[in-house]
Amino acid sequence: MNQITALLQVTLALYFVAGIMFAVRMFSGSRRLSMGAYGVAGLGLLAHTAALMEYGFHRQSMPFTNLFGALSFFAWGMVALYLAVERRCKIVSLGTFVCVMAAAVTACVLMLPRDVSVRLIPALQNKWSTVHIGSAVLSYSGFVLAFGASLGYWLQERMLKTKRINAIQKHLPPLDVLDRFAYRMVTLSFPMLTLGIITGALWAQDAWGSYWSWDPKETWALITWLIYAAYLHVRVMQGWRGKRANRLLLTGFVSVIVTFIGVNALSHGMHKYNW
Amino acid sequence: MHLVVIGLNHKTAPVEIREKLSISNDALSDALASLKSSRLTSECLILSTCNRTEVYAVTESGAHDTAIAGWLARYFHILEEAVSPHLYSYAGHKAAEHLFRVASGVDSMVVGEAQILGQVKSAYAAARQGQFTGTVLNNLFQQAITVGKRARTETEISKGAFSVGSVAVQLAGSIFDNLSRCTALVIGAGKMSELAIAHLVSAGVTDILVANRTHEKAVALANQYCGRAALFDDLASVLESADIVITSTGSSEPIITRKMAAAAHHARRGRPVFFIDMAVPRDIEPGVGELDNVFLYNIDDLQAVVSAHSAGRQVEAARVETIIAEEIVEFLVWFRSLDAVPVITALRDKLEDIRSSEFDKLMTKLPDLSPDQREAVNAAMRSVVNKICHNPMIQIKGYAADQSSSEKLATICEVFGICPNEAEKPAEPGDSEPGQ
Repeated sequence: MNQITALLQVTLALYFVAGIMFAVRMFSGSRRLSMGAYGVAGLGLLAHTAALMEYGFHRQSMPFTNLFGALSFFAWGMVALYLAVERRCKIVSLGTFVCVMAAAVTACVLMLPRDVSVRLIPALQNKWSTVHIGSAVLSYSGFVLAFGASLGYWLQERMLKTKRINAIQKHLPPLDVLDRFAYRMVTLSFPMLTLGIITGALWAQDAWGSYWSWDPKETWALITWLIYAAYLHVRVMQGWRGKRANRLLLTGFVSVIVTFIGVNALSHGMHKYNW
Repeated sequence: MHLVVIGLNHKTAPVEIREKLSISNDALSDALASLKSSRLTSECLILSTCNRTEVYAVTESGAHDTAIAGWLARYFHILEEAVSPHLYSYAGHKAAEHLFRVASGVDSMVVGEAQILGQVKSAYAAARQGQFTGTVLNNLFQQAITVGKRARTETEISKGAFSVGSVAVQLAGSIFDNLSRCTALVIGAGKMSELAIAHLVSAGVTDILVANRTHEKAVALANQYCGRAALFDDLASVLESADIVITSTGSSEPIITRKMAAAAHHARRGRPVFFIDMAVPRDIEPGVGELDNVFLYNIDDLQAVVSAHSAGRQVEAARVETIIAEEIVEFLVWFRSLDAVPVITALRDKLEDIRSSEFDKLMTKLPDLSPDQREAVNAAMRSVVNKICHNPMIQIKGYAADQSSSEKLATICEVFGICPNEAEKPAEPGDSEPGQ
């Protein structure tokens, strides 16, 4: 366990440094600096991967079956997704957001109690569990990236509308880059969330004999799903761009947080994470 | 030897005149050949862009600027009276300074734009390829290219948003990712519109639509910048395809109403539009800016951003001027030293003539000398001449780099009784690389 802690500490430090490098890059425009930031973030991701593998090996399950693992995997998903798509989207400034978020989540993870001896309850040992939790958590990572872009959009849009032209405005990405990036992230994450909900239902049928039981987590997952479905619908079919579509994204993020974390803090459904 | 530049640019001539005098790259060598055959110049180069047509020339006697102006009028089939009020001409170091300002982008319509350096380079390449340039223009243009590069790398002149147009382009870059994929609609065909188009082009916008109440003017402006002219009456439908709309007409009523913009916005399925209203009174209803994903800036909004930057502009412009001043000194030292070359040659020739004729006389008087003795006498005479020459030569070269060089050189000629104009001119290897 000490090894995992050490690896996560290294990860945290690397994400933090990469975040600072991305932030400086935003204002300096040095290409070499952004290469360096990718390198450091990539190293962080490697350390993170090693920590997750080590953790999974200790528990002899997928690493994301408790809160410690799920949060960790969530942060890992953000960085991995960002590094995977960044080249295509050319959205360097978001690197700051991603790395700082990932560092913050990793810092929280490090504060959580962890006990490798706790084994999964039998109901959670199921063929669907891996796909269910993995795809759900990964979809949250993608939605958070979309949120990062929509936050940038909101800022940029506000500043342009109110005609406050300053250094921050100048260094934010153009509106259509942010819009496109958020859309891409949602098109990636939405199918994953759908898959998570379906495999969850199948798993519930296997374990408890009912597909859907309006557990708070299920209800909130459905709400989240509906919000992003609405976003995709109005964007593709109605051609909504800009503020209104962006508002849906911001709402969607709140719903994601409630689904992922909030439900567990507030209720005692069967989805409550074990420690 | 005289260096002159004669030409016109966006400050001195309206687009109707400029378009008549613009030459495509393919036609350059024909124009240069015509100028060369007129025997007015020994070296020549033509720089022709959307915003300027300039003839750089080296002439042997006198500036010949009126003669070159005459050639311009004849070559472009335009009345001399029509073109001459728009022409400017600079000679000597003023001509060099002008070129340096052009190359550094200070003289451009869009201050600090990057295109002009490329245009200077290609004009130079074209003239040099046809062997129309010689030592002077080669040296001048290579140094101008250096000045242009220095202005761009050592100062922020090409980065800052120092004018209304460049602020507009910078803001467009905060909305659109790739300006080269944007369609810009410019309404009005006056000076402001032209400036706006110049900014858009220098920012990489390629699809430009121009609409004007007098359609012919729109066509002329569109042609000059490879754009398309749109009918003024079709504005409502044209609006649909435009990502960036710039208006500057003299209309007293708004041209774009909120209703029109909303309809266009709906047809565009909500893609963002950037409206820039440069006109006073305004051409676009203020309500347009309330639409979602529509950004409306008027001239005052842009001006506010510009004045926030203007301190920066003065600093950067001053830094560019410093670079130009440094380079001009370097060029002038070299250029003036050219005047010394004929004097030095003439002096050396004269002394050599004296030496060889005296030597011949001496040899007829002393026929009994052995070949070794003859050679010794010859060497001694040569040595005397060289030693006498040495200091004057250095002084002449020194004078040449000086301000009042011509007077001093004239004195030297008088003292030694030489006339450099009759002497053979220095060799001008057209394709040799002058030292930088």
